[in-house]
Amino acid sequence: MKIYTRQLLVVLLGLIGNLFATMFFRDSLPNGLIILTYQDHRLPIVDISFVCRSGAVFDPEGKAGTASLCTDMLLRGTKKLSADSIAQILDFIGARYGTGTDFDRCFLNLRLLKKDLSLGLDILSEMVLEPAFPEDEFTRAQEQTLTSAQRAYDYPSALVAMEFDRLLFGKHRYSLPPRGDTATIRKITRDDLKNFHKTHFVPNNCFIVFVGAVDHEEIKNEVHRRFANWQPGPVSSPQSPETILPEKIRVKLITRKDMNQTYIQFGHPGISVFNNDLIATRLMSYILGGPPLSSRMGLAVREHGGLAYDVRCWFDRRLLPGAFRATVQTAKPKEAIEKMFTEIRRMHETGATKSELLKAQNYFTGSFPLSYSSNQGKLDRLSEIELYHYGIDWLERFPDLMRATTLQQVNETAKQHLHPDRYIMVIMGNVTKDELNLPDVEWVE
Amino acid sequence: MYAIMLSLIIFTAPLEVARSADLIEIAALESRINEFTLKNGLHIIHYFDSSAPVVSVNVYYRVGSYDEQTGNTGISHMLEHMSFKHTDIYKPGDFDRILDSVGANNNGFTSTYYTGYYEELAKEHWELALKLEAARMHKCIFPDSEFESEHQVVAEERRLWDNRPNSTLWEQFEAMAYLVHPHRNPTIGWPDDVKNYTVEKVRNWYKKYYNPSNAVIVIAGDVPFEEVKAKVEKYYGRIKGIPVKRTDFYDIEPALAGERRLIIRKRVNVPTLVIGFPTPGIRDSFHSVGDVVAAILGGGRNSRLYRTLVIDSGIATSVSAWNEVECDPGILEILVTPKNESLIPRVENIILAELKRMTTEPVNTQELQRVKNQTLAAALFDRDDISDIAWFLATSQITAGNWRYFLQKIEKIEETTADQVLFFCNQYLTGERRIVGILLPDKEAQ
Repeated sequence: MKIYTRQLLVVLLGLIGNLFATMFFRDSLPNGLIILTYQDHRLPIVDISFVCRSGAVFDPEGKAGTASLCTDMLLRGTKKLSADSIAQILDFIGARYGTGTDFDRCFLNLRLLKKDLSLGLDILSEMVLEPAFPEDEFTRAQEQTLTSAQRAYDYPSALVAMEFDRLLFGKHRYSLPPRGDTATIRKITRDDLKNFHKTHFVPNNCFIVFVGAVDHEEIKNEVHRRFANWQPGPVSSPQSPETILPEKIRVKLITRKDMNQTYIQFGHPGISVFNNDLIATRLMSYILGGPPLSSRMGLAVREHGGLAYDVRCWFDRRLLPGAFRATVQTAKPKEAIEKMFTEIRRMHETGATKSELLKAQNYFTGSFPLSYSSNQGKLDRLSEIELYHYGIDWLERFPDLMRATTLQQVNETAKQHLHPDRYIMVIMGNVTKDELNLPDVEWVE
Repeated sequence: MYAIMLSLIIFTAPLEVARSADLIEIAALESRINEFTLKNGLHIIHYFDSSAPVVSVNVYYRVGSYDEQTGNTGISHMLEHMSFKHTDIYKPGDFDRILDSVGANNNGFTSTYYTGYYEELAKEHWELALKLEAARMHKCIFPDSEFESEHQVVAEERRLWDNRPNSTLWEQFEAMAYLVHPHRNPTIGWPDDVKNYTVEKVRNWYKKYYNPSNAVIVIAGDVPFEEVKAKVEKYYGRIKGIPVKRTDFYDIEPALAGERRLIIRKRVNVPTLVIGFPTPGIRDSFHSVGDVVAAILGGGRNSRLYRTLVIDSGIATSVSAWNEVECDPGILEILVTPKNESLIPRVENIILAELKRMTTEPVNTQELQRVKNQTLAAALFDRDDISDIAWFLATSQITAGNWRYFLQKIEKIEETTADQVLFFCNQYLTGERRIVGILLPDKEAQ
């Protein structure tokens, strides 16, 4: 009986040497649930990630944090199991488990010993298919999330990032963290969670990844047994943010007299993971503000200037266009800002050099296999591949794409995707406008 | 159904068989490990794992904040920064440029008992890491001209620490917990000491501590032992070893005579409570019971304090506990986020009541078994990543003088009895011998 749509048979990954050759499979159930397995029997452990493709961007209006709280609640009770029972069983078998939510996905991860796989799958399937969202657990989870949100405000780096997002993304969901903020978390009700689960946790909007001591044929039967009756449903698309590239630098200054260092984040609208320039942009931003000890910004601000411990820039990698961001923490904000602005201008105007590009390519192609040498690394990479539709051959293709990127492509992305002196900027610390003396900026209150 | 399932999990014989298999699997780790010592005193530990063509090279020096005196705290960390700068043949930035160009992950870090450097890279490049680390071990030069900018970088790192919400609480909690033991000093150094570093201090520290006799190298991954032996001999065999006698502070801290309490008000939104109890160090064969006690008290939703504080009374939103013992006697710490400031006395009372119960009633079989199962599973999970294994090997060798220490600790936990837990709690968690730190929102600063 053929119960699966086999999309691709087997990809033998002889990527980084014959010894690493391991089987990677991708299948789907008739209801659309995708199953990915990576068989690696060197240890009697299994890592599982259940992923729903709807993340925080699908939160209801004014209720940022719904997706996150909904996912958190999967651990807190099903129709058959109380939150305590789930924890008792999983803790007793020594499993590690947790949930997470970002803008693009909700996920539930489970790491256990192979001998406990069947039990773990029983519990995981119940958590995904039949969460109960019990009232007492909801109240507790909401309070805990509120505390986390309040605690985030105690971290200057988080506060600066939140303010930057608010200014750049306006009314779009990207303007608040995936967890939401204290005002929006308070508005979320149990019904919101139930609705979110009902709408987005449908098999054709989810996938499940297994890495470790598993056999693909056995796994697909196990998954089929538990998830085959799950009914598919409509899947919606998120709205892209409407961002505006400012004509000149817009600066929000938050004065904090108790700080002995100034935290800065600035940037402008960026690109999505589907942009054709994604690879070239990664190379360019690595050269500009990747490693703090050897990137252009790192050399100017840290190594030669002694102005900061950490300085960097990057383009968000999300389904919808995110931001280009640069960050620094320094006791000399004026000097650090000037150097970072100068490096961005220089990259925009004259681009990178051949030797810089070669080093960046070597870094990405060399370090990529390290990122999935462990089971946990494989789980992360396979989740990304599926979520962003990179294709099952991505692990092979990524180094090729990196190597094939030309200097001209990199420099064109610098022209096209960097916008010097048209930033949103947030500055927080014990510093005044006069001390910063930023020329030709618009101060935002 | 699941209640029955849980009881079956606990008491069925097949589990014992599987458990034995897990123990055998963990013990099998030893068969993949070899070690040797060069004539100059350099000790090398090799862990073979060919499941991915990757090698992790780790060089650890027996120097950290443990060895620093007042006025010079954080100097090991300052040296760690400077060691990336300049050797006889490598110019500032070369280490990172060279390693980045082969896609290596690399970094350095400073701790209480050691300063470590690591490179994780494709196996065809592993020798490069060995060569660079050899230069770091004996060829660093510290030109005056390169000191000040890095000094400022370290000062900025210190300021980053200052601006974290709980940093002052942790730093001053530790300083209060230890009157004389070097555990009282932060690894990053006290602010005034950081300000007063000189390049001469860095040079002296390097000269005193960086040599083969004071180092341990761990090489983990897909490289055979014979190759490791040959290459290590090639790059390190001729470096002169100068034994360094580390001052032993194991017994220096006087017994805590009574409660010490610290209350800090700062611009934070959420209060924090930490309570600590002095516990024995690793020379006491009993010390691993502290890890079991901490897990029973604050290890997850099923722990006693999570249940009483978060679920039953609902006066806190999070609880955790751990036994902070790496070598010398340390502290069992309980960290709580109370819902608000006014609830802190109640939180403390509940904690003390629970501790009292721990000293009078033996822990039940199920909670003890849970901790053992978690320890066993974690030992297998940790083997997933060669960097984790390398870390365990190196730190065990430095702190216990024996890489097997981390495996022995698993065995100790596996053998722990309810009577031992009861005895430990009576010895260390009673009376007024505690350190209490409280961080409160400063309303005027909001």
